[in-house]
Amino acid sequence: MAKIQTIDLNFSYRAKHQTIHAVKDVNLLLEPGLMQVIIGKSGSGKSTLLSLLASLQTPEQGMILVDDMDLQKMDADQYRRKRAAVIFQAYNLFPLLTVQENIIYPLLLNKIPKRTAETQAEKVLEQVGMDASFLKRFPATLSGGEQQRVAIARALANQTDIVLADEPTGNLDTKNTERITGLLSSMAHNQGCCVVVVTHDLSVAANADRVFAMDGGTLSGVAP
Amino acid sequence: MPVLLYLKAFLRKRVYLLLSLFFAILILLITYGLFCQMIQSKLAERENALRSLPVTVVLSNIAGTQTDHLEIPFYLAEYFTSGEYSYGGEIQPRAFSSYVKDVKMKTTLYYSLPSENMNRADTIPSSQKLVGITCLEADRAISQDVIDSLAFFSGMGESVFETGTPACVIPRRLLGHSAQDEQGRSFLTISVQIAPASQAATELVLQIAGVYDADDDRIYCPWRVAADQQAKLDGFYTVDSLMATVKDNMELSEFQTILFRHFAEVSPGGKAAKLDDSPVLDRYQFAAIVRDETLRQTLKEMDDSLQTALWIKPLLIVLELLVSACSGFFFGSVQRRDLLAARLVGTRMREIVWILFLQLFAVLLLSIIVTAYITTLCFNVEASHSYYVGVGAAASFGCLFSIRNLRKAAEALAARE
Repeated sequence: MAKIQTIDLNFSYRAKHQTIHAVKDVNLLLEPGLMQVIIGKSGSGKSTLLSLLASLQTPEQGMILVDDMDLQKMDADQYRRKRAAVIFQAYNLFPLLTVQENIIYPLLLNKIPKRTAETQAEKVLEQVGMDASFLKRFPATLSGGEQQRVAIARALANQTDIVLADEPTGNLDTKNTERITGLLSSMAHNQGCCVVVVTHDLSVAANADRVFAMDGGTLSGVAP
Repeated sequence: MPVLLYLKAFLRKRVYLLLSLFFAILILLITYGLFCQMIQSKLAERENALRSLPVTVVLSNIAGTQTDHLEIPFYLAEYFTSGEYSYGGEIQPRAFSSYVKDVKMKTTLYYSLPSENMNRADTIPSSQKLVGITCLEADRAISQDVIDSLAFFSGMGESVFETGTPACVIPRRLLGHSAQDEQGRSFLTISVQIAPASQAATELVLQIAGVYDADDDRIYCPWRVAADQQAKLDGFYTVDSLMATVKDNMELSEFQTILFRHFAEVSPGGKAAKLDDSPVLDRYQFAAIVRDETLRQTLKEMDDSLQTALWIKPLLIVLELLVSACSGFFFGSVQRRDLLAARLVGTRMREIVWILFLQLFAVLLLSIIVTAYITTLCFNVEASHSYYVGVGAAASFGCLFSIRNLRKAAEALAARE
């Protein structure tokens, strides 16, 4: 049951002739068992905030505490391998690997035996509504919604307690959006994961337990 | 474990990419191999030319304008024939003569037929030339008619001139002045003089080795016989002309140093090379012309061609390096999504580098092995492997260079996303 807290978080992108202050003094608390959505316009800094939470970027100032431990002092690869699953709009599946191989890849990284990992893959694929016939298929043969469900299945299989999703429904139709939102919500409520979803889709926000609004790199509101 | 899983998947799905890269590297390696083989062959040709093209040394007058009728004293001629060579009062470790072979010499005397023979109808004018030669080529004055009509008697041949046997080749019309022994061998008795007007004469009996039909009265005998007769009459012998072939062209430079201790240096065109230092020429009686124009011209052409080839060689290595680096970069760029996905699920950077390195290393290794096999088998290349090592080093450097770039690219990609 992971809890994430940011304290005075700041981050800038340095271009050739200018500095873009993407995240400014963000303080928030992300709790386990809740689906928390960060909304905002394009360029509001929400995706940057998520990449900071995923330890893909390092904060300039401030800190991120995961279960009261400084994220910067943790091994970033190990953090993503064992604690935080990252889901992006572009699915981020291995194009060369089958669905089954994509799901078991992080399990193998965590030294789980291949046979056990394969059984686990079949189980989680069922949980996201896909049968065993998908196991040997390649990502390119799946629809956007199916690919995103495989990405969620990968997070489920790895049993991470943090799920960080950046525009996971950005390319999907309403039906698939509802399905993915339902899965993420279920991960929060049934598995106790700390689910953080960055989106500008209000229908996703409508299913959230808590909504954070960002504007110009700062946190402009929280509800409830 | 995930590294192997990914590699297996990569080999399964990117077979055409791998094959393309493999063949690109293979073609480059074979090109390089053939290029090295070409250079080796050029070097061998050069070596062969250096050894086989004849270089001759001809003695001439001091100006280099005349190579016959020189009257070279015996002590100078003997440098080319004696097995010992002393210089500055000391016996040298190598004889002057050890640098040359096929020494061609000519000495001219005069002969007349004894008086009883002169009573014949076909009167031969007195004081004709008796020419001592080491071979027919030693006398450039021998006409083609003489050579064409020359017929040796049974058991005789041109080699007779290399010996000291008192034998001779005569004009056919002198056969009437010959006598035969019990074994049917023909002999000619002549009176030998140093010069036509000389009072001193000596009688010489020569076995007739052959006859010629040209309109000439000269008698040709072995050079040694003529030299002995001259020494008998005059106390020493002289040589009209002397020419020799350099035994080993690799020693030409060393030989020239020794040669020009005793003879002035003149160009093949007959110009004294040290004319500006004319006092030096006073020491010399004769000059030596080294006829190595063909060798020098051939070597120059070969060296020019080799020089061009040697310039191309590093360029080819650089090209291979660039192609290796570009292939590696391309190889990585097509894996952008894979690398990004790998980073997102927590694959360590070193594991990603391992994935790339193993892929490239496998392709490069396979290429080098196949190239070595093909070039050795099909092109019969010596197993020196020197260029395989060179190619391997170049390719490996290219590979490492690529991976370094890929690592940067992967980090940048992950950060940007």
